[in-house]
Amino acid sequence: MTRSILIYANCQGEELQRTCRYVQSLAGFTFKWVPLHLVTARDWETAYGPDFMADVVAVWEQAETGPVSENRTELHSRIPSGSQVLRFPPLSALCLWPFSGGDPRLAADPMRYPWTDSVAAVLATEDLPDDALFERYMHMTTERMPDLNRRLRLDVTRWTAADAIADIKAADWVTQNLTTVRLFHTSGHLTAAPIRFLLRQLLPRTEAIGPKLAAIGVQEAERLLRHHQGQDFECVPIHPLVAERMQLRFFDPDARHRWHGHEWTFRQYILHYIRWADYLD
Amino acid sequence: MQAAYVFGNVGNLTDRLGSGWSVEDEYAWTIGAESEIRLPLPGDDAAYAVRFTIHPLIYPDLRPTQRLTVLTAGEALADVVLTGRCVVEVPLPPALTRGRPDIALTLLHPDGIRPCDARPVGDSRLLSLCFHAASLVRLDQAAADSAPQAGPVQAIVAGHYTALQLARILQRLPALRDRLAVSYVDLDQTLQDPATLRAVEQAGICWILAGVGRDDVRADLRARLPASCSVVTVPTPQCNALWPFQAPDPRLIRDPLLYPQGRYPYGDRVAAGMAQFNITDDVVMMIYDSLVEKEMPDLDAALQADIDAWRAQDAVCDIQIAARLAEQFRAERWFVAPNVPGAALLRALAVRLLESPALRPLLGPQPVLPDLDRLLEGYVGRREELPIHPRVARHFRLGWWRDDMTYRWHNNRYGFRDYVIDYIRWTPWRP
Repeated sequence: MTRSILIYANCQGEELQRTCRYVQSLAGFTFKWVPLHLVTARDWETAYGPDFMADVVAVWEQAETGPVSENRTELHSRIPSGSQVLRFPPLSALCLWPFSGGDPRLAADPMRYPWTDSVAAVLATEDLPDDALFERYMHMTTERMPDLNRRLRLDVTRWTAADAIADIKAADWVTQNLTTVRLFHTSGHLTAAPIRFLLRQLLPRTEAIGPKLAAIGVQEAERLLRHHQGQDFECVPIHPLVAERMQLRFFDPDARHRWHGHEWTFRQYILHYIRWADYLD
Repeated sequence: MQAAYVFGNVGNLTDRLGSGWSVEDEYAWTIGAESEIRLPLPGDDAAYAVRFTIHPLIYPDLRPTQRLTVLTAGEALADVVLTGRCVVEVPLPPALTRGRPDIALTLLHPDGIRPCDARPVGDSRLLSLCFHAASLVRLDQAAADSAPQAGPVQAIVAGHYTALQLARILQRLPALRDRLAVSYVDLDQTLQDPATLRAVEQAGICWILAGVGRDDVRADLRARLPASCSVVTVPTPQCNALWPFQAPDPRLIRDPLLYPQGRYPYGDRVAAGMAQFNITDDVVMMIYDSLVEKEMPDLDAALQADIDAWRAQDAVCDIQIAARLAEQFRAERWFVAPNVPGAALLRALAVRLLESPALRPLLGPQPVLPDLDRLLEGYVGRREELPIHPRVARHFRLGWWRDDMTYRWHNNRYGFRDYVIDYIRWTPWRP
């Protein structure tokens, strides 16, 4: 009989699933992903019924602070008895993108630039050449830069709160590495480093896999992710002033950042964003 | 959109909010039962509406909806019930906006609830609606946006990956928006999709890429095109000189689940010959380099063979590109893999497509090339760049190549050395 490990998580769970599918030593397991941010009541009846759950031997459940959602209750009611449940925290960093507020263009066109920049949004109707527009953006963002230490404290509070209800703890690791290693491409999309970190925690603790196989699996996953860029299809560049104030040692002001089929500098990204410019996949 | 407004401390409305607000960094909550806002206006004679992006505070068990009434000078402009995040459009009375610098709005929101009364949290503010952003739109413009447009000319770009990218480029050029409807036809797939068939049968312009796809599909496509359709054949140049060791590798097997094109689809005969070498990376690389040096073919002859092939394809196509490729071979990164065009080649082909006589009447007076350049800025493609051996790059004195250059390989990024070592060892990688 097949044995499955069910991952109930946001898109970070998909990264775990995709990585594990390529780990040859774990070929005896099927890794299934239920996207907690997308699943609907109908999905529970159609896609995730008894057949889907029958071979689940372990669940990697992404914890969520706050009240238990209907979907999570549904999940819990379907996990086969005896299956191990390992809770791990969601990883996110809001402090690195302090202008991620409202943008009225998102209502009509939510997918073009889904990671908002409210200062850039304010400039959307300005009719200026590139240099002047970018200078204006830099001036306004410098003027309006919020207290980043406070933002970081809020993030740490969230990480700690998620740790408190999870079996895997990540707050200390994220705090220690946030300024030295690029961990996030957007506030919620991960580079390969946190994916490696999560797998190093999850695999050895999964009883159905066992310690010996888990150790081999961790090594394989490390190799697979050596050159991997993580969830990099949309990378939002970090503002140079944020990098300076937060003392981000990994920051390279000339770096190019992937945006679908493009690689843009911070300046190019901001100008495309302000102009809501189309791009290619 | 005439103006963009953003709520919150980092936005541009904070000094326009009166009583009844709790402003946070990225948004503003209405508190109590009534809130005041003085919305800036352009001060001209146009008629406007404001569109607010609002998220209501909902507790399904306690407060499933939130009501909102928008007033100005005692007149109700909008009266809505919100059940989730939405956009609320409020038409502004022209009599109160014409020539005015702003308009005072009163928001009534009688269904506030204190979060601490609904959940175990410490927030005792009486909250109802979270305002994120707003836009000011001209009503005549909004009407124009929704008015039916004259039907655009249907265009087809047929081929494979290059055709798909060219179709996407044409679809995204502002100068052609609403004037040209562009569909891609995959010449490797039998024509059967109803929407594609409809597009083919209505096509006014069809660009067919030469040398790719199935002959039967190409013939079927041509047979279905209307007699009035302008058909233009386009070359699809490829390049082998930059990757002179290409050869089949016996290890290459398609794995539909993990590697549909095979683990390393571009063979390297020198690397393949070292598959059994079980030695350290440094030694592997040293041996690979010495073998490459010994076995390096005549690169100038390889380039000449490519140029000859480009010219041969040009000779049977309506569009010509070979001379440009040959002239600028060192300066432009025409190819990112033997059969994958770089941004420069896509741009050159797109420019040729835009010069098609059948397209000229559709192009307005404004220049198209600045839009094309902005669209292609920083474009590298999404999937694969095949690393180039440094000896090859140096031989051709490629202007865009650097010693420390890294290449995208699906979602990975490799330097040449790491790629070759992984290739020799046939190392699994994760897309």
